[in-house]
Amino acid sequence: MTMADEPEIIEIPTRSSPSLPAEPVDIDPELLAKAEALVAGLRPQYLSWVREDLDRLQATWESARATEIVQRAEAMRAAFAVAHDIKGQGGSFGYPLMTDIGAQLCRFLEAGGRFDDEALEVVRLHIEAMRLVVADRMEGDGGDAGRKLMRGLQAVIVKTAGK
Amino acid sequence: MSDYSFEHLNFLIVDDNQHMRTLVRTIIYALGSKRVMEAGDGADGFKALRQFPADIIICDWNMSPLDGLDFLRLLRNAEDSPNPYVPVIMMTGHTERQHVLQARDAGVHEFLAKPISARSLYLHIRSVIERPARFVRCQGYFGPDRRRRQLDIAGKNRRLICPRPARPAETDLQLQLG
Repeated sequence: MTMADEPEIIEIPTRSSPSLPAEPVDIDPELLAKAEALVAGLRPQYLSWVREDLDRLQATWESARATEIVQRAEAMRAAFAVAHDIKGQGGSFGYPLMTDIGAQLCRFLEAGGRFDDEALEVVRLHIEAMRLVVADRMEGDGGDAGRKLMRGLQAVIVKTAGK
Repeated sequence: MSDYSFEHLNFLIVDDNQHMRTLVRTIIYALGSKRVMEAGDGADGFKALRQFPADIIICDWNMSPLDGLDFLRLLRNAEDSPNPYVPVIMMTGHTERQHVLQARDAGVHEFLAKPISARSLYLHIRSVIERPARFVRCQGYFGPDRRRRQLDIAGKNRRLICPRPARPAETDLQLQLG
């Protein structure tokens, strides 16, 4: 082995920028509480944003339904992208149930590879469930209604997978 | 309370989702910095760095046309990169081990799972500040040291005797086409 093959270790003495603080820090609970309060203040906006996402998801579903099964891949990819956005945002705004439903829909679309009418029905039911969460402001896990909703969606997926 | 402040830090947010950018910007503002620039994809982010000396980049994975990994590779390896050493926090919903390793091998500092919270983002920002990673340049890799823990390991240093394998081919999440 030559010297040229050896890794070069580069220390970053100034943390790459002089404006980065030089001392370790403690968690500042007031700062964090302020940030969390501001994020909580975005919840009404989130509901508006996610309605737009659900409209986009609905549009991809309608586009898929209007085409032959063999040509549905593109629409389903678009549906996955929107579901992935919903999954990634719900929990940030106090709606982890949206994240859970979005994640389940992503897993179904990712793993199933099915674009038949039964698969489309699974997508539709997830869209309807998410609309219900938004309409009823089902924050957190949605309580009993939220758990029932998730169980119902899981049962649909199990049933569809068995066909 | 600490007198620590993010006031003088420059943050670049690279995400194609306006809602996520708003969320991240809101948290950063609350943490004390008003020096925030936004970019809608990796190409815009790279361009923004020419004008904006970011101290920390918070970047999404899924973006088009230039996604988070491509942006990261460009940032670390391009000859005209404005700052190859800048810390990058990668946000993503892809939390499977394979994706974490991909991001690490592209030169990410921190991996932040979505959905994010004020606390999780805060802790990751603190982490890149408090634990500045030294950089490593070796065959097939340039970026922050991927060894996060300093351990006394008996035997030979494999870093010196065995170059890392080439980065695996990108296998971003794809739908089965049926």
